[in-house]
Amino acid sequence: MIEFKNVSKNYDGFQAVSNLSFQLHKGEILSLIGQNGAGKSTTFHMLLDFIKPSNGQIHRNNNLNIGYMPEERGLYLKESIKSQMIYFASLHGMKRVEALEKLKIWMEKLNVVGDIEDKVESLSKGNAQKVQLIACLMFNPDLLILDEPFSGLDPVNADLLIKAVLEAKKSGTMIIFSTHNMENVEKLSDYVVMLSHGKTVLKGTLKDIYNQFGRSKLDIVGYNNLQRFKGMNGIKDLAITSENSAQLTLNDVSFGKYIFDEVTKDGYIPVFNQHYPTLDEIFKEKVKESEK
Amino acid sequence: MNFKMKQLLAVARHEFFNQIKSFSYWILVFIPLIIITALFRYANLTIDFHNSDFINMVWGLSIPILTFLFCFIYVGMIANSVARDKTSKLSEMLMSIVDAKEQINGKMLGIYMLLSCQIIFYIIFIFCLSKIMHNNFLFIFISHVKIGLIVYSILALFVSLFIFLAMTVQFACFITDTSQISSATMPPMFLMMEIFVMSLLYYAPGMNEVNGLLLMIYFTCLFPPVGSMLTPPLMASGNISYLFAYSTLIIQLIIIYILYIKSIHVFKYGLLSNKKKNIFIEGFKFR
Repeated sequence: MIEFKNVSKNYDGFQAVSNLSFQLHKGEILSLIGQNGAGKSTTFHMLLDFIKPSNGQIHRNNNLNIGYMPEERGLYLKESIKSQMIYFASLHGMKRVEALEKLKIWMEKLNVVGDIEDKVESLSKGNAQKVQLIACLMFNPDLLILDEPFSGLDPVNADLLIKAVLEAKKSGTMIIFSTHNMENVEKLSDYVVMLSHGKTVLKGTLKDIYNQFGRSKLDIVGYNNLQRFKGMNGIKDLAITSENSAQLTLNDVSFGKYIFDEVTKDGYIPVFNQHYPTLDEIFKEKVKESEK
Repeated sequence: MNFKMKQLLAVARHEFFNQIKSFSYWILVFIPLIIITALFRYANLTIDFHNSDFINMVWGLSIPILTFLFCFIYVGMIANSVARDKTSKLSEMLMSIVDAKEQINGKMLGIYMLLSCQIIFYIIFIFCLSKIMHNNFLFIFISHVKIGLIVYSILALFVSLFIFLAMTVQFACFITDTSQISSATMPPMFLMMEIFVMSLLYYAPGMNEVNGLLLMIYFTCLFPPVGSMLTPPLMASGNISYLFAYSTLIIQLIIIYILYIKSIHVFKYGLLSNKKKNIFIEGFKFR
């Protein structure tokens, strides 16, 4: 298990991370969300023991086998895939034969275009990124840390990465990753920590977070008299997107029933969808709040 | 074998095979061979092997030259190696797997493996050359040098190389692009050249009669890498005793250990720093 207990980090008066607390257990995925400079990489660096926290405690087993993919991707360009993967594997204590076997399996699984004897400089950016991911995954890490793993990947390769991460989760790996892509957070995370300027603005399971906000979003399509909802007390925001469709943000979730009754008075409407805000919307709202 | 030792050996192996496959390594290995071959072919080899002063003088002059040569080759090599990790943007990833200490030790062990390989290669080459040219002068010459001096000279060579490598690592870890490699090797190279010139100057006529200078040299012999480069010629000329020389080596090793601990700390800090910084200032900074 990994535990951050009220962890803070200051750099010459600048607060990079403030009072961060979370727990991560075997087979769980935690995502760190935040803008650039929110403190995600600093959190990873503290977890990896590159830097010491100014305050608080980090509990983790020192003998954890860690797979880390930093935000700045890199490989030895002049070396072949085989030679550097064998090198990384040997640093993890894996034998050469086993490493070669796993490398071939992972290259097939992640659909890397190229041969193991190819030099990294001959690979495309996406393929090189996949090779780096293999370097983190092939030795079955206990803890996998991925800093912006989806940046630079097309949707097909992003899906391959998601599959690989979920497979690692199944085998009991603790996974922590940062991303700006909320769709992937929804697909992967068990637990979410949202940071803004180093402060935790939101944390919990996806279910908890959605429940906290409730079904406060409402999409209406096919109702012509949308202007009548303007200025109503129960409505926080009304965005009319076309002549007969609008997106509403409700102050009170129960107000949705009133609107439903109103818009269906005249009969059928094709779309009335009262739903949870997306993580993206929650994120933007929380960032706005924290900047006030 | 424990896990850390396995990691250290993996780094050393990677370093060794990477360098041994490089063209530049073999160029640097082959250049002295041309000089050795020319020596066998053209030098006047009527050496008086019974003149121990002459033997000592030649040995005393050769050791700083050899130390300079080996340090010159391997300082550049380790700077390149650290720069490769940094410019390949792999330092963070490597640091998450291997401690800075194992990385430094592994790289240095790799360098020592290359050095050993180079020395063995030279011995085989000289042996073959002696057979082909029917000239055994080099082996006869070495057989006339005192064994205590040979052992000390080899130890001093390893100590000199160690301190120059540790020093280079401290500068090289702040490299952010390959154009800075030469800047990282400059401070150890300057120091190396200065000590090299000092050790040659010592043989200038009349220099060994200046007592004040000798006293100063005795004092500086305690500090690595000055001591490790100066003591072999001083020993060869009989100006310092074996006991004094070996005692300075022990003191030097203690100082080296302190500097080495500092260099691990600086190496870790430097590898994780991505900002472009002045290599000279960062390398000399006390952390």
